[in-house]
Parts: sequence; structure tokens; C-alpha cells
Amino acid sequence: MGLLRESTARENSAVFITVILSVVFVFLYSLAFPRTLGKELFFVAGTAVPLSEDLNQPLKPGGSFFRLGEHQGYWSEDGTLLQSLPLKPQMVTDGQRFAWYDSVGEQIVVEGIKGVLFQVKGQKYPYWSGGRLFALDENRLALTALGAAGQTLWTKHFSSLISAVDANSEHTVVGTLDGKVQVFDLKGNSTGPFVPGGSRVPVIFNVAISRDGQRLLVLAGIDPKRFLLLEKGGGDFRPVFHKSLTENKPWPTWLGFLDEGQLSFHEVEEAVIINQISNGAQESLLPFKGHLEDLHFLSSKKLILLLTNDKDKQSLVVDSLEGRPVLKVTFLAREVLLRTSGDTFLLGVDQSFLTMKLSYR
Amino acid sequence: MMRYASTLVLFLLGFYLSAYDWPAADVQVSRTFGQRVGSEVLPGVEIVTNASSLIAPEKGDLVFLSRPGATVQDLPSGLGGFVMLSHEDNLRTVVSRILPEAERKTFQRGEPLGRVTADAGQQQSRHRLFVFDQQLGELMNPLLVYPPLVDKKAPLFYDVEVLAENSKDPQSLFGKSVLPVGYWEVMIDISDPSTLFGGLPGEKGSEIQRGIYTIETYLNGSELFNMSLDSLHEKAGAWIVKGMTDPLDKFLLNDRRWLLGQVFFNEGNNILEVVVRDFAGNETGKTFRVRGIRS
Repeated sequence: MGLLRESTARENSAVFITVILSVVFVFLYSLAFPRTLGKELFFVAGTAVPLSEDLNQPLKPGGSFFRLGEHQGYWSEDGTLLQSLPLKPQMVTDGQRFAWYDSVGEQIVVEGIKGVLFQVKGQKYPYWSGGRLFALDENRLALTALGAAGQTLWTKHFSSLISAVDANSEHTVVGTLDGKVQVFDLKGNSTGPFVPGGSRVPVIFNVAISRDGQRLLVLAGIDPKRFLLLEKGGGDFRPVFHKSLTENKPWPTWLGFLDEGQLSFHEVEEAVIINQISNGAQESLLPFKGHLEDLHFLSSKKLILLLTNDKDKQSLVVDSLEGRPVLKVTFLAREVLLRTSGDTFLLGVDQSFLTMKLSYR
Repeated sequence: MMRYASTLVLFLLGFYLSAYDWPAADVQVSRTFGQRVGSEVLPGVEIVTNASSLIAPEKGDLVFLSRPGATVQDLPSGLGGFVMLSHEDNLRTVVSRILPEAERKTFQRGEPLGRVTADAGQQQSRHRLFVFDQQLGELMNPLLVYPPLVDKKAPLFYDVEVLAENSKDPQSLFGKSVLPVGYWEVMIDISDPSTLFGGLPGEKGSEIQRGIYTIETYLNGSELFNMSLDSLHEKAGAWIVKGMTDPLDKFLLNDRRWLLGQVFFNEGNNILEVVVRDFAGNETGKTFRVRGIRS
């Protein structure tokens, strides 16, 4: 017993000395290398509004049109819901305007916050890309580019179904199921076709064009599916980076440019890969479970928001560009919408509408 | 003679290739390849069926699967959900307006592609079928690979008209046999009447109009216009019928009106022959004797 007591006293004394030394070390370290603690990122919940009731208040500039389930509407810059109405036929929106099909007048109608902007006679299937309006034909075999006032810029027929369209202010890139990629200018003059090789079955799944029109991204082919980066050289686009993917989903998957065109992203099996445009090097891998339903980039915070669906369980996943997880919220929903505007983002979940703000504190 | 031979070869080729099955047993064709309705030309066929699901027409690899409401590149169209298969003969088929279910890599002939999507209140569902020749880069007439149409009604001429240079007033050759010597544009109004049945016993069916397959026109034995709707290819963003140089919309003016070109009616007798066939091989022809006079 005496030996045991002596041993315990020695251990207590050792612990005491360790604690004292630690406190002294922390004190001296803080004195020698003083710095303020970094700000923490907070998601501040804003308003939560039900969508089911018809709401039609005057619309203010700066907000955004949206579509969720069987509703369409408009939310203001500060996240206030100003409009919630039953969905119009073929309604699509780029945020600032929306287009829909008027079956009585057999025309596409385009509306903004002040009402009808213009109509496009004889067209039925509107599609927005890069802030520009397009119309597809009944069979996805013809595409019409429309001008700012709804005038026809050009109409092109294709020898296979159109699988992907992307545009910037001056160029339109079109991918077709025969494995061709063509780029059209505002007059309808085309570059290409470019036919990516290296796969057993040629097909284009998705395309993206950079804002300056100098680069293209393409997801093409089956066995294997391939990711390609093309750059403009002379009058043509030429591949500067390409790699085979392990996934073989036979439908369009996510693809695009990020961060003012410095980065690209593409979807693989349950992950998003971010690449450096300059050298094709992989920047990060953002894993997720299930299907990717939506993807947004918050440029001010360099954050990526992923909306995923895993067996009807939806998740909002926020990751840093480097792939560090920041936030994950899981909920049950049938219809989901995610929109961002500055530091505010809007999450529509079935019949509810929630705004959240990002802030550092 | 060469034209007849090439048509025969194409029919034989079609017979040989028609190893493809319709995607349902009770298929009826409601619109044909190249048929124009309003401003839209159909580069495939439209079928109606009472079946609840559609099957693969032939063994093939799944190339593309489109579900309505997809989150990426959800391009709007009248096709709804569709499936594209790639077959061993370098042809690709598309079956539309279905809810694709199976996400398998290959389909055997007759395996289900998906359940049909029907219009509200309609007993039958409508689907568009397309065939693409991947090697030639053409949209192919699906009736060259699917089983032949069963139809005994021949195409019907509504009118054959001629239009003088610098004139806006066409004259029907059904009521006119004497015309001034000079250049005239020839136009025909034609379609192929048929009957669609809803599948109910004892019903009379509904009358529909299909497009026509071939047009041959001769003036005094010389070929004026010869077109066979076997395939379309894209050139400078427009569709061109195989063997033609001008885009299809330059001579297919509306739902049933075709511009066949310009003729010169000489003084005296001019024999104008127009022969039209439908996709089932039924033929109808008209011969006009036009007497040219100096005015």
C-alpha cells in the first residue's frame, strides 16, 4: 500500500509539471507570435415561405425568375418571394427573363419583370444558354438562334439528334448524337465539325464554351467516355488535353468552366473533378452520394454548392475549391431548386422556399 | 431506266434490311418520312400503338438515353424520353416518347426499352422513330429497314398547276390544255390517303394523309424531276434529299405542294407525265397534253 501511494504521488507531480509547462509554452507562443483568430463561415437562414399560394407582387430589378415543380415565380435581390404562380407550358428561365409556349398564338412568349418583351412566332421549344434564347424543333434535329429582340439569327438542321447546346454572347456550341461538335457564330457561320475519337461508340454527351470563346469542353463517347479540352488555334478548335473516364453513363453529365475560366469541372461516378485549365492537372475531387442534381459556384467565397439526390434523399453539400467539406444538409424532397445571387442562395424544396446568406463572423 | 433500277435495288435493299421489328406488334404509321405538316418536315416516321411498352427493334448497344426533366442539357422537344441504339450494320435507331427504364449496355431484339407515354385522353400513344446511317451521316427513311407498310390506297392528285414567268396566278392543267409558249413552273398538290384504326372491333377508323415516297416527272420523254425520299443529309444547315442538290424546303412548299421545276412548252403538243408512288409501293400517274400556242 505504501509503495502504491508513493507511485501515485510521483505521477501527480509529473502531470502538474506538464500542465504548468504547457501553460507557460502557450503564453510565450502567444506573446512571441500574436495573431487574430480567422473568421468562421456561417450560413444564416433567412426567410422561409410556402410556395403553394398564388403571389403576384410588383417585381423589382435585381432578383431572379425561377421554376420549381408546378410553380414559377420571382424572388427579389434580398431573397423576398415576390411572385409564385402556376407553371406555364414549356417555361424556361435564365433568371432575368422567362420564355414559355403560347399554344393559342402558336408562339414563344418572352417576359421580363415589366411584362412581355417579345414573341417568336412558329416556335414551340425555348431554351436559354449563356443568357441567349434558342428554339429547338419538335425532333431535336434543328436549332434556331434568336437575337435580343426575338429575331431569328440562324436556323440549322442536323443529321443527328442534338444532345448538348452551350453558348456565350457570340458563339454557340452544339453537340450531336453522331459524335460531332460544331461551333456557330452570330451569323451562323460554323467551325468544325470536330469529331472526338478514341471511343468505340462516337456520341457527344455534353459541351461547354468559355466566356471568351477560346476554349471548349466536351464529354464524348462510350467505351470509354472521354473528357476533352479544346483550344482555338487558327480557325479550328484543337484538343489540348483529354482523358478517359471510368464512368459510362449514357446521358449528359455535368461539365463546365469555373472561376472566370481558370478551372473546369466534370462529373464522374459520385464525384466532381475540378481541373486546372492551364495544364489539365487535377485540382480536387468533390465526392458525393447518388446523383448530382445541381451545381453552383460562389465566386466571392470560392465555394462549390452541390445538390445531390440519393434514393430520394436530397443533400446540399458545400465544399471549398480544394475539396474541403464545409457544410452538408440532408432533407427529403421531390422537387428541389438551388439558385445563387451574390452571397445569398435560394433553396426551394417542394412547396417551400428558403433563403440563406453566407457570412464570415 | 436507271431510275427504275435504282428504285428496285433500294426496295430489295429495304427488304433485305427489314430484319428490324416494329417496336410494338400493332404499329400503324400515321406520318411518313419527309412528310411536311405546317412548317415541320418529319425526318422519321410517326407511329401509333395500343401497346403499353415498346421493344428494341434489333440487337444493339445503348448509345443515349434521355429522360424528361433531366438536370443536365434538358433540351425541350416533342420527343419526350427516348432511347438511341447502335446496331451492327452502322445504323442507329431512336424510339421516342417512352420512359426508359433499363440502363443496360446492350439490348437484344424484342427486349423492352420503356413504358409508353400517352397523351391525356388518348387511347393510343404516338411515337416517332428515326434511323440514322452513322457511316454516311444521313437520316434514313425508316421504312427501308422496318417492315413494309400495308396500304392499298394509291396517292391522290389534288391538282397539277403551272405558273408562267412573272405571273402570280397558277393555272390548273386539269382544266387547261392550251397555254402560251414559254417557261412555266410545274407544281403538284398530292398526298397519300390512308386509314388509321384505334384497335376497337368493328370501328371504321379515321382518315389520315401521309406523305409520298417518289415523284417522277417527264416532259416529252425527258426527265424533269426525279425524287425518292430514301434519306436526308445535312448541308450548310439544311436538309437535302439524297440525289438532289437543293434543300428539301425549296421544293416541298407546304403539306402537299411540290415544286417540280421549270419547263418550256413548245409550240404544238407537249406531253407532261407525273408519276407518284407512296411508301407501300402504290402508284398513281397523270399525263397531260398541253398545246403550246404563240400569243
